[in-house]
Amino acid sequence: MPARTDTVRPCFRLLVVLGLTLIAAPVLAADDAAPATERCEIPDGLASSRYAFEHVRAARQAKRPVVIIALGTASTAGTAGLSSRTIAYPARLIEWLERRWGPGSVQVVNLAHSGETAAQQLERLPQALAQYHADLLLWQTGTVDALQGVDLDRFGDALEDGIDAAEATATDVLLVDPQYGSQAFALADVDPYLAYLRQIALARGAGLFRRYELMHLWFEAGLLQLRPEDEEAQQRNAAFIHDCLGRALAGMIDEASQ
Amino acid sequence: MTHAAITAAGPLPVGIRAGGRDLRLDFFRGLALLYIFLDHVPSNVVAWLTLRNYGFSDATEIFVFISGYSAALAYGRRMQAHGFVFGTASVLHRAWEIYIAHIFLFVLYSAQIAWIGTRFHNPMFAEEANLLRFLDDPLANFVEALLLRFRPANMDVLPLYIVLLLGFAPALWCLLRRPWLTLTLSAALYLAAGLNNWNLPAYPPGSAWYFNPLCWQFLFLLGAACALYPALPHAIERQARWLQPLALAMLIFALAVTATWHLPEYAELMPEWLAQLIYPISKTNLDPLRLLHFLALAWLAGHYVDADARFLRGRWAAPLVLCGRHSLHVFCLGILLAFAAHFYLVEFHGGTLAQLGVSVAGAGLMLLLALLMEWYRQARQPRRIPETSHARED
Repeated sequence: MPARTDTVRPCFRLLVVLGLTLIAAPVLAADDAAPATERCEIPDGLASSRYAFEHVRAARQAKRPVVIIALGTASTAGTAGLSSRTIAYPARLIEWLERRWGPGSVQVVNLAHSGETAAQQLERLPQALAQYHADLLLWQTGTVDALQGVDLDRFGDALEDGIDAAEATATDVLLVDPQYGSQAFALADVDPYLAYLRQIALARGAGLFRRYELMHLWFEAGLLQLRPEDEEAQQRNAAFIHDCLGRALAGMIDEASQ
Repeated sequence: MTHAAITAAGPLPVGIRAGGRDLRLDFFRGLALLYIFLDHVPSNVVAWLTLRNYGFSDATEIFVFISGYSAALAYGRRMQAHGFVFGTASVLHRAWEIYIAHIFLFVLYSAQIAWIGTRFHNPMFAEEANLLRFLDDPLANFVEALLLRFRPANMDVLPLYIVLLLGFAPALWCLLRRPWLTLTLSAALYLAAGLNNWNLPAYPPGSAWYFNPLCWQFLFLLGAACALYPALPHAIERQARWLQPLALAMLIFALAVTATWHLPEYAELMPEWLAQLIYPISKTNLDPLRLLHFLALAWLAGHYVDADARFLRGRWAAPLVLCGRHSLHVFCLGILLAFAAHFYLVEFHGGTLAQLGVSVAGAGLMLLLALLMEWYRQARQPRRIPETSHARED
């Protein structure tokens, strides 16, 4: 049938063109690597809240320390490949906030645990909210849910329950999404969990710190190294990235509570 | 249009000339395969080309709808000519072929996990160990995978297809006799499952079928109904001309909403009451917004792209038509290529050019496979091997 030969020939030609392009690509790619800058840049929209943090603002106006409860997994707990918890981004956040608001103006209660899903993180939340009279809930979540393939609706319910609990105790909510760069996400689909976090943050008036997108941009800019040569380089890079995250979060919280 | 008028038109696939193929099916299925591959490569700049960035529905809806359409074409005729038992056997045989392909993919997935396990060297990503739990009890995981209860990420489409085919024979039998009743029951199941969150059992506990078959069956049967009653869409179009502007309005609305996801400048414009009303948009349960958006898209595509459209036979459509014609093989390859592409981007270069490179290379390899399959199919055709002589749903 002549129609069939017509299908094959253009495809074959296209393949030849594609093949030649790919052979030529390394030459063109010579200047693909973006120059690494020392400063971590934070584009608009990834670390800014659409909603004001009213309770944080009230605490600042009353000149009392802002109490933040940090809920999350290994990167928040500071156990993820860091030499000490002081390098982890919650500790960096305190320092960057104190630079803006003065010493002693912030307290972070870190309740993060490695390997927990949103539903598991939620279990400790009500008691912590009652105990610490927090102004802000900093909730990093979604990583373990994506890796375990947790039912999206359950993930969403856990998020909404957490936001409800925070609202009931006069606490603002700032959600933090997963890290970019995990090899594991080749085998686990993180996209739907990112989308749910974004949609629920919008629907419920919670802040969302788009860590995934931000770290991806830093990776493309050569700031985030996913394959450091040795352990020392690894530590240096991890410390740098966590410092950038802490600074971006501090900027976001400060702006949303002015 | 009344029930009698539709059934009078006859439940035979009259839209397709005997022996000929509706090239639109191959073309759009090929497009869906390309989109699925591009979307499965995380943070891929080329994925901006795909449907999901411009509306609620994505390639999965295209794939499921067309699968229902072609299943009805392939087995509806067979069931009418040779009876229910032979028709059922044909459907189950196809489900078995897809099951084997899925298990083959799963074996490769297990090998990938084991291999990745040896390469965790950046402890910044400590949570990756969650994935390795798979290796703690491989036997249990394999049994669960054989039962389709355990389905790793990105490998949910084929199990959905298998389950839909398992229930397809009786549904087809009913569709051929009582189309309206069948579609009403199907819609009722879709709504009930979506509202009550009914889903098939899954493993490990707490996980779920990412594509809930109880919901997605409705789209599959809608595709089948369109194939069996090709006169129906035209009849509806004559009766309700306002559907066209309505479909267009749906596409524009979806485009506006998705713009607020991608462009931070526009995020402010999304009214809070609307966000509370429509979010979260469930892919698992085929959210009505996704369904309506796809139907609007299909309505307009069906109207403006004729089965005899010239471009479908032209050289630009040829690669997609070819991939769509060998969809099962190309789909499986796409899953593996997406993994390889992600690995390359994270391990070596992640820049825009690298993303472009792996996308083009992946699409090229998918096309190469389709080309080889087509060559082989044609090469053995003159020898009249019986299995290629009848129409195949592929």
